[in-house]
Amino acid sequence: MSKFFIVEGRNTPKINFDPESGTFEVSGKSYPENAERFFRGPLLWLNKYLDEGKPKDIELVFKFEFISSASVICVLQLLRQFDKLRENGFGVKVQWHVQDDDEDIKVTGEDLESLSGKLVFNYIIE
Amino acid sequence: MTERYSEAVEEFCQARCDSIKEDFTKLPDTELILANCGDLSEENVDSILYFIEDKLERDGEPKNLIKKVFTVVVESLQNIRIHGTDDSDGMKASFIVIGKEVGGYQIWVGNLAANQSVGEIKSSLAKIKDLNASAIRKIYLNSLTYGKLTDKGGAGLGLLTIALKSDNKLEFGFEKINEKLTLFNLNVKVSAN
Repeated sequence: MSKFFIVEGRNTPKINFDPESGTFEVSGKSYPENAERFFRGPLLWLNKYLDEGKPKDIELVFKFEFISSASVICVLQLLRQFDKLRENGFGVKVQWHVQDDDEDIKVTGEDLESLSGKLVFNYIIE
Repeated sequence: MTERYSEAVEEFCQARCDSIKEDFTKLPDTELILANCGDLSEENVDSILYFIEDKLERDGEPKNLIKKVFTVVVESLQNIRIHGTDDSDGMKASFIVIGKEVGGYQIWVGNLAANQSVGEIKSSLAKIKDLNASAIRKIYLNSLTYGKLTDKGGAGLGLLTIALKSDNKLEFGFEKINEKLTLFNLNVKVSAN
């Protein structure tokens, strides 16, 4: 399956899902007014990957500088899809980056981890 | 007739915005940072957010305070854009005022609400009023667990996020403008601690 890539926007994160290398990255600021519309593309891509992808070890990398409440819900939807990949035999490692001792981003990661099935987050404090 | 009606609504919002500005600037050791009244377009939201982040950084405010203020402003403006009712000209008459005071910032936002939805807004606010941070976090996590974005993009988490960032120092009011519309206003205090 081909890559899914969106360049970072003014209020939207960079998304780079690369099934070949096994790295799935979401990074930057995320506060689009209509978060559901922005995240629809990556969610649809993931649904397809759930059907077509062959189990392998993959790494999710989240590097948020800012995330709005509506975006948090969408990221949770992404994570629940990744948890389904885990159920399908994928090895899923989640790297949640915390920059500048940002307590909000750390707590958001912990909230999402508690709601993302059996995914385990590794917190990388930068 | 329509024009007069719409103008009256906008004048009502402007008058409220002006009185907040006047009252605030009379207080000692305060600085008015921003006051914007009128239709809130997506472009206006972008400029306000850019200005606030840049201004607070230039003023040398601590990062955690900049982030708290930025969060409250993002969630408030998106609430206005998503939930604010249009006036008869399809404009989202609204206002935002941001002022600096000793130890932090005050943010006031106002938007139009249909008179018949005032009860619903009051009951959403009543659920979080007077709760401490851990009680609000429980509601927040519950809303996140079962939260689905509506067609307009809202999920009800915005107000809870604002309450958490402001240590629940929220005050709100409703002023009936005419037989259809009410001006809803929210005052949030954000402190450096």
